[in-house]
Amino acid sequence: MRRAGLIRRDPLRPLPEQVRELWVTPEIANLLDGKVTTFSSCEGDLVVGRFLSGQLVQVSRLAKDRKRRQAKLIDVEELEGCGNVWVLCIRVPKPGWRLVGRLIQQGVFIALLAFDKHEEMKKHKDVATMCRVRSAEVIAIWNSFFGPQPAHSAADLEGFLGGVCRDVDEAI
Amino acid sequence: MWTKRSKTKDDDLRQYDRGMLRSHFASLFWAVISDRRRLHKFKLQNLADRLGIGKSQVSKWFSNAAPNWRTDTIADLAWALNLEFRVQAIDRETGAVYIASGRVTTQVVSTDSLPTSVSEVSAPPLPESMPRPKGLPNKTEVRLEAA
Repeated sequence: MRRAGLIRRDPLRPLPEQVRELWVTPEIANLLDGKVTTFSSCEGDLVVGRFLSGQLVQVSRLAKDRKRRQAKLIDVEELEGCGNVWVLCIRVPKPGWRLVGRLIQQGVFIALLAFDKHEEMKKHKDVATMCRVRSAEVIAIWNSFFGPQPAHSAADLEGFLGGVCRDVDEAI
Repeated sequence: MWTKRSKTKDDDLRQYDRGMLRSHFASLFWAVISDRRRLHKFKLQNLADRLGIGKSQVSKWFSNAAPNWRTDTIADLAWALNLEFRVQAIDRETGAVYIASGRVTTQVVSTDSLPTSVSEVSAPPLPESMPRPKGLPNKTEVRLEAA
């Protein structure tokens, strides 16, 4: 992945055990380092820290019927029907930024694209269109980096993300 | 969790430590709940009943990955899930470990007193009701070799 020019993100403080990994493009690394004014690097560090440590992430895998209340609290979304494309959500300040990418193996997320949701929504007529356009873009970048290697697939949520996860679409 | 834009690197670390600690508790309890759901068909309703509150309240506690819980909430959850809670702190500069009764001291053992052969220590057996995870050995082996 280093040969593809990707950078491995480290948490703000060293972890006794790092359960997940996050690899990003140099542009996204700049964003997470706070070099973009509309991005809260403090909040970004926290979301990344929680993700890397394997701590609880709230996950949604269904596009339809996603309740408004839940949508505000989701950390990770799978773009349903878009070819194993996942989104890491940094929601503060609202509506926040989205890191879009794919998993190369369990708990190893490759973020290939980032956008300010507020700006992004001005370009598309609805969220579904935005997801379709952006996921196609991510798959094209993935193919340019990894060729025919498919994105990681698993039977259940833990198989995808590892660590502690909560599927917010699931009734408990 | 709302975090104000930080002014200094130190402020960033403070906000980060707050968020991580909050998340730590929610994550720990959710790990226990998930395990029990898988093994014993445990439901949030069971937890709510034990605490004498509504299920929606319990659900709300876990609707945010980094909730700012009161210590009483943490204690209640530990009680309801029958968990013994152990808290320790590590000095980031010296590595010293602290628990509520003071600093944890480590005993230095001379390698001369260690056995030269392999010794074996058995781990306590799991309760009958608890299914043994796949791949877990029947006993834990501790190998000691003298220098």
